[in-house]
Order: sequence, then C-alpha cells, then structure tokens
Amino acid sequence: MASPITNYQCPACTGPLHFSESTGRLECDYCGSSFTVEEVEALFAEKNEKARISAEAEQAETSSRDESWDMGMEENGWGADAEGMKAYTCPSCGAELICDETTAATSCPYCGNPTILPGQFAGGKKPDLIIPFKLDKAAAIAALKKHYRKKPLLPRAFAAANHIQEIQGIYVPFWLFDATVDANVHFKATISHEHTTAKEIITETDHFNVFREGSVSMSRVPVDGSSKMPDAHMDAIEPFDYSGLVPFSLGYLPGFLADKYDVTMEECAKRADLRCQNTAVEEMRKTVVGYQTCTVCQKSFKMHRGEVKYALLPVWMLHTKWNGKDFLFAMNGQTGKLIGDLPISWGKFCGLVGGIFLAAFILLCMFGF
Amino acid sequence: MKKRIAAFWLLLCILVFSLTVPAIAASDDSEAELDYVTDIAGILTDEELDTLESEAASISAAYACSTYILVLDNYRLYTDSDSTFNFCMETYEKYNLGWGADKDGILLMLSKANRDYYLIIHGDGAGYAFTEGGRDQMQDRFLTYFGRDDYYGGFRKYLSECRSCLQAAAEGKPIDPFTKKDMEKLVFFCLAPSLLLAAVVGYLLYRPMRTAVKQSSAGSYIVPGSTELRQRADQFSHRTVRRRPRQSDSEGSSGRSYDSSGSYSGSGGKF
Repeated sequence: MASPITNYQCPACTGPLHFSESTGRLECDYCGSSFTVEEVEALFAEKNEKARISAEAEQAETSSRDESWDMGMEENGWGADAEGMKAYTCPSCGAELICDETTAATSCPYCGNPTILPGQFAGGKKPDLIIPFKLDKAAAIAALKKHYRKKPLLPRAFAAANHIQEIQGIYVPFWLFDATVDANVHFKATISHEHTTAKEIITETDHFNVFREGSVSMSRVPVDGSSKMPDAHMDAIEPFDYSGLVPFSLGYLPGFLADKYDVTMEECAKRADLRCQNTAVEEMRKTVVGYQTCTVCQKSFKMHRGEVKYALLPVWMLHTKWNGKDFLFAMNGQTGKLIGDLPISWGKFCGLVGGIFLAAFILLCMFGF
Repeated sequence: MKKRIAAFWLLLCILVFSLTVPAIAASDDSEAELDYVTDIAGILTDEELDTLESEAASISAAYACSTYILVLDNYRLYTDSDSTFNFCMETYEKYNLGWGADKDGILLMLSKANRDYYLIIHGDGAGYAFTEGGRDQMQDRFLTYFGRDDYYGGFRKYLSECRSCLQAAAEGKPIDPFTKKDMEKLVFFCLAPSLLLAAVVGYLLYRPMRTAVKQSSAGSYIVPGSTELRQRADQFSHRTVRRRPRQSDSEGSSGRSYDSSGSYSGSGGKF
C-alpha cells in the first residue's frame, strides 16, 4: 500500500526539498538543485494521488472495522487521548509521526525531512489559494527583536534572557469572504454654538436626525479557520497583500507546517458578517460631516453574500516562555508585520507614570499655584 | 539782618507746619466720609448698628487698619459698572476710606437685593494681615450667617474675624490657612492636569505592549469605488439652550480680583 505521506525528494540526489521564501522555488539542501513548484508538482502528481487514495482507503477501512468489530480501544488503547490524532510513518527514516488530524504538512522530528500529508485534504475542501512565504525564519527573529525595541515597560530581563522556545512557519487556513452590505443607519448629530452676553454664557445645541442608506462591497475578508490559532493574533497581522495569492499547490508546503481548517465556513461567516456590517457603518459615518458629535442610534443591514475562498496564508508563530508564562507572537509571513503581547514591568510602569505625575504636579504647583 | 533772620524762621515754621499737618491728618482715618458701619438698606437696628460701629472703631484704632461695613439695597443703583470690585474700589476712593497715609483698610459691601457681597482690601498693611487664605476662611465663616439672613450675626463674625487676622498679623504670623478654595485650585489646576498627563503617558506606554487585538471591521478589504450612498437625510430635530452665569472680566475663576496698580484686592460672590 502506498504511504499516505509525500516526501518531496530531489530528482537529482533524492535529498529532501523545501520551499525557499527568497526564491519561491523548491530547493535541495544537499546538491543545491532548485525546481519550480510546477515542475515538482508534475513530478510528484502520481505519488500525491496515490497518497490521497491510500489515505481514503485507510479511512474507509478504519470505518468499516469500527462498524464491524469492537476493538476495545477505550480499555486497551489511548482512549479519548487518541481522538483528533493520526499516526504516519516517515518515508525517509521510518519513524512514527503522531500528528493532529488537521495537520497537512510537518517535519519529521527525527530526520528533519519536510513531509506533506496530501491525504489530509481529502474528504474536505481543498484550498483554492495560497500566499507563499516571502519572509524566512531569520526575518521573523529579527522582527521579534525589533518588536522588543523602544518599549520602556518591557522587563529588561525578558529582552536580555529571552530565548525563543519555538518558531514555526505555518500555513494557516483562512476563509476569504466576498460580500456586499446594504446598510440603513440612523445617527444623532449635534452642532453647538456658544455666545456670551454681559451676564451669561449661552450654549445653544442644535440636534439633528441623520439618515444614510448605501452599500459597500468587500472582497476577501479573512477569517481564520483554525481553532488552534488565536483570533486576536490572526486578525492583528492583517492585512495580507492579495496580489500574492496563487492557486494552491502542495509544492509550497515543504518546510512549513500546514493545517487543514477545523472551523467551518458557516461558523466563520458570522465573524465575517459582523466585520462587514461594522465597515458599512463606518463608511456611512464618513458621509456625515459638518457636525460636532455624531452617534449611531439605529442600524439595519441586508447582506449579499458572494464567493467564499479557502486559502492558506503564511504566518510565522514564535513562542517563548518567561517567568512561567507563555508569550505567543505572530508574524505575517508575507508583509512582516509582527504582533504579540509583551510582559509589562509594573514597577517600571508605576515609576514612569508616577514620576511624570509628580514632575507635572510640582511644576504646576510652582508656576500656577 | 534781624528782619532776614525773622523771615527765615517764619519760612521754616511754615515749611515744618505744612509738612507736619498732612502727616498728622493722615495718621488715622478721621478724613473718611463714611462711618465704619453704614446701613442704607436698613437691615440693622440702631442698637445693632451702635454695637457694630463701636466694635469696628475699636478694631480700627487698635490695629491702625480701618474696618468698614457697607450695606446697600442694590449696589447697581450707585454705579454704572457691573463689577462689584469696581464699585467697591470707587466707593473706597470716593469716601476717602482707610487708615493713615497708606489708607489701610478692609471693606465688606453687602448688596441685599441681588444677594451680592464683596470684600475689598487696600494698603500694604491690610494686605499683609488679610491674606488670601485668611480672607477665604473669613468669608466661609460669615457667609453661613448671611446664608440664613442673620446679618447682624454675620457682621459680628466678620468683625471678630478681622480682629483675629489683624492680631495675628501684629504678632508677625498672619492667618493664611489652606482653604477649600485653595484645595479646589490645587485639584483643578495642578492635580487634575497632572493625573491626565500621567494617564495619557501611561496609555501611550501600555498600548504598544498589547498588539494582539481582534479586528472589528474590514476597512482594508473594501473594493475601491464600491461605496455607494443611495439616500441621505439630515433633519433638524430640536434646539437645547444652556445658560451659565458669566464672571466679570476683572474676576478670576476664584472670584478674586486685583486692580492694575496692585493696591486693591478683593473677592466676593453671592450669599
């Protein structure tokens, strides 16, 4: 039976191939050969198809076995721990790889070979598009160091002693939604005038009911389809440059982790709808001009939902530990935007803010009191 | 020669007399054209008036600082100015009030109809005795009487406070407590701006430490030129008017005033 794993090997020396961010080609570390994604895809098309069929056959076999026989897995095996996990054999060194059932690309922890699990995309929607990695690991590390700079509240020990525990280039599954929103928005707006008489200061405020009806179209609003990825991190590294989107190919995956979506398009659509609606309100608000205050008091929407694409987008995830706490950073693998919450030295915070307060208070007391 | 000597002595005597008479005349407040206590509004009985007058005279003589009370129906009937400070200053000048050459004195003016009061101080000696803190404390104390229309009680309190201030000044320790007004000033002009500045700086320092934030909108993904406004309506609903009393130009936010020469200072308000 064919292995459900594809290991892209160099046609020249059989060494492992990995995708290079700088050249956009698959390169061999051993003989230095490089190939385009299309060339490698053509070479390994047959192997991938076999891997997919093998995966489906294995799945079918497992299903029929489960229906026919009670294997007593819960008593003898991994029980609940085995749920959501899959085991593969590395075609390079023979080691057993235990992966999350959504993992579509990984590396063998024993021999380091980049490994593709094309069968993972079987039975689910295959990604339509992918943005290949443009920035490498070194860029991610440099961006993290830059992220530490000019942060007076960052504990000195964190920046000095910080060692990145883990750094992974991950193709994160995203749903990209097209939508047009028809919005009806009612605002309350005011204009105030002040004039003075000999005895009084009179403030006259004119109140207005403002109504706007219009529509806004949005293209490829991204919502991450991986429950493992924190939404805040994935949102904060936006936007991606969609001019870099290309049709999906397994050839882009070697050397990186890749996940299959585990949050359905229907679930993600709720967040996309909300973001589109908020954007429509913001656009209508921009047309309310000439007022001093403006607040939304009523809004209604009609969504015209368009095409939804499934795409893998490149993200570098960096993980570090400090004082027993985990700190997770994410960098857009295309644009280099890096985000992540940093630890705060509350002693420094109190010192700086308290110092500024005291200095300002003393100066004001000296000159104004 | 004898005639010349006699003429010289005569000239010297005239010179000395001409110099000493004004000095003698200015050594008290006998030139003032108002009593210490003047009640045009008629809110005090004769007996009360006499008591207050003798008390004020006693204080004035004891500390060489004239202490006046002026009660009017409505001060606006006597002046074109809207400012109580200007009116008190005019009155002080017009009636030649104050003790000695420096015209040291304190005048409490009360305008009954519009419930205005004003306390004006003139002269370096009075300025030394009646500090801003001392005046604020004095006002807080006598205003509680005026607030309940106990004018006689209020004036008695005013005079006793004047005596205390002058006595303290005579001992070289003028009363200058940290008053409620000082506290308000400290809070509004020093504490609040300092706190605000510290909060803004704190936020600016904190903000870049928290960059993993969920997006609530999708402005980056708007199709260029797709925003279409189909209907717009801006309808006037109603007007609201808010009126606040205006402080006169010569009064600061604390209600304190100073004239341009610096010889007068005062504070007042409503009771």
